[in-house]
Amino acid sequence: MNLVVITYLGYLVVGTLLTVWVAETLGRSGQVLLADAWPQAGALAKSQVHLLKVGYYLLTLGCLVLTIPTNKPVSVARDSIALFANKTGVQLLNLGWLLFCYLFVLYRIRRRAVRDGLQPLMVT
Amino acid sequence: MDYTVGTYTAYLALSIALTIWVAQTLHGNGRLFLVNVFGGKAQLADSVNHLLRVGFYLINLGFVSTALRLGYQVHDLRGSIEALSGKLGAVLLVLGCMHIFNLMVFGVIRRRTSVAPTASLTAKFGEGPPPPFAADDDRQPAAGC
Repeated sequence: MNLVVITYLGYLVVGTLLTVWVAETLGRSGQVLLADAWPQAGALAKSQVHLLKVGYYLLTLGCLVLTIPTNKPVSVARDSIALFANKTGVQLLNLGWLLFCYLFVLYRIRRRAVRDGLQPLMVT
Repeated sequence: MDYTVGTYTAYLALSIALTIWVAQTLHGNGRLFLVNVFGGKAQLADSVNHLLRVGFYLINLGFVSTALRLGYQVHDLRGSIEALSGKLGAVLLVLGCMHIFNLMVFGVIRRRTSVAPTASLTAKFGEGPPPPFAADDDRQPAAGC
């Protein structure tokens, strides 16, 4: 197993951990936001946030996996660290801007629910 | 078994597992969402949910198998990881885009069939501003879904 494969695997592990952490944080906070807008339907808020979270996972993990390959030579530890930092940085930026998109979507769902008084039906 | 066959096998195993996981998650969590979209008609929601799952499987498994071919030989672990990343990344992004498109479509359906404000909310937030789409009001309850 050479240096470049180790770099790839390290990037994959660190990027996945970061993604899981951000997505779970988004899920927890988003549920509070929606449960507040739909006080009578906590289960619906939970399932809606879960659906949104699955989309977040798919898009961010897709970006993570797609950005693995490199054509730069990796022969010493310095190259490896530079490559790892570069790729992790790109993944952090992806996570960040997609997080803001999701916050905007959650805010819109909430605003619409509060402004128009649109409440989910009472379902079990 | 050379690296190319290994890559194909890993790609198929990972993408099929991923497709099944996403489809089951959506089936489980989407039910409540769909019941709400279709105005509380649970039977309708269940049948749409089932149809959606079948469609999801067909499109994704079709995409996974048509995108299998690499077109070049893989000779080492590095090449294998790189080939796998391109293929799997595409599968993940296609799954994600399809999922978000589905959610948007159902959001639109739900907005068109939403119920009127409940008494408790009117008490909480007052009468509120007039509906923004008063002129071309398409929010009739249960308008042909």
